[in-house]
Amino acid sequence: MDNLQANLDTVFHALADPTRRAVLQQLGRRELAVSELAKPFDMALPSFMKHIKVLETSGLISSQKVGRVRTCKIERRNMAAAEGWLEKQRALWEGRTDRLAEYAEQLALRESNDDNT
Amino acid sequence: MTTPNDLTVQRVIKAPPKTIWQAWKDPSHFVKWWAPAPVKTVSNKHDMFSGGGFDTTMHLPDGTVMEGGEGCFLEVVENERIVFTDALQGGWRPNETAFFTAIITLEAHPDGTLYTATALHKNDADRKKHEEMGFLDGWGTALDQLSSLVEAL
Repeated sequence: MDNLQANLDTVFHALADPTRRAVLQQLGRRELAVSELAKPFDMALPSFMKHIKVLETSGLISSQKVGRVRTCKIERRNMAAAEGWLEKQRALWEGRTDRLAEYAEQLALRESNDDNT
Repeated sequence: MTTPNDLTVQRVIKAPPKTIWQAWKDPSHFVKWWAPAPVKTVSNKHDMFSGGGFDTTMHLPDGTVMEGGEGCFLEVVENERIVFTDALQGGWRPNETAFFTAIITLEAHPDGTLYTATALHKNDADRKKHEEMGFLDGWGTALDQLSSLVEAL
């Protein structure tokens, strides 16, 4: 987890590209060979491999070469943890905003009652 | 403009902007909602004007005390807008570390106030490079997709 925190920038860097997000979505369904993954993209294989490399560096996917075939799979735990960082901040702000809303609504109610008396 | 490190929380609050402003500006109000019960918030500094310092301490029921460190209000427009950051402290003096800038906006709404909190988090990566890569493309759904992806696994 600590490694991942340190890696957060590389994770978001990895997520910041439409090709790489599409790759993640494909891998979300099943493991795939790089050649299969590359098919939908109009891109030379070396360029595509750069995207795979970025995703691997981020820890979001891993790959394994068997014979001449390199197969990629998603690293679910790292995906969840990357999301968790921002989700934690979101939970903080959601909670804060809910509490402010409740407090301000009570305050407004009290103010209008004061005005009436 | 949003990046993957940003988040936005929005609520319609059934109170006029000036009441919400009061709940933010007056420390005696502010400490009542900033942290969830049973955490007790102590406001050490709450100079809600541009360049003013912002410092709270959290007291947990088990006796743990969490120092928030001093932040800085960057922009304060009464009943409309609050911008603050942990990158600076009061008087715009730089802090050792920086993590976020928060932008709070209050807009009049038929039911009271449309309250929006946006938190911008640090991203070391070069923004220009990101833009060239289509960084700003389709980000609205990217994290949603990510979460549905993770759930589907």
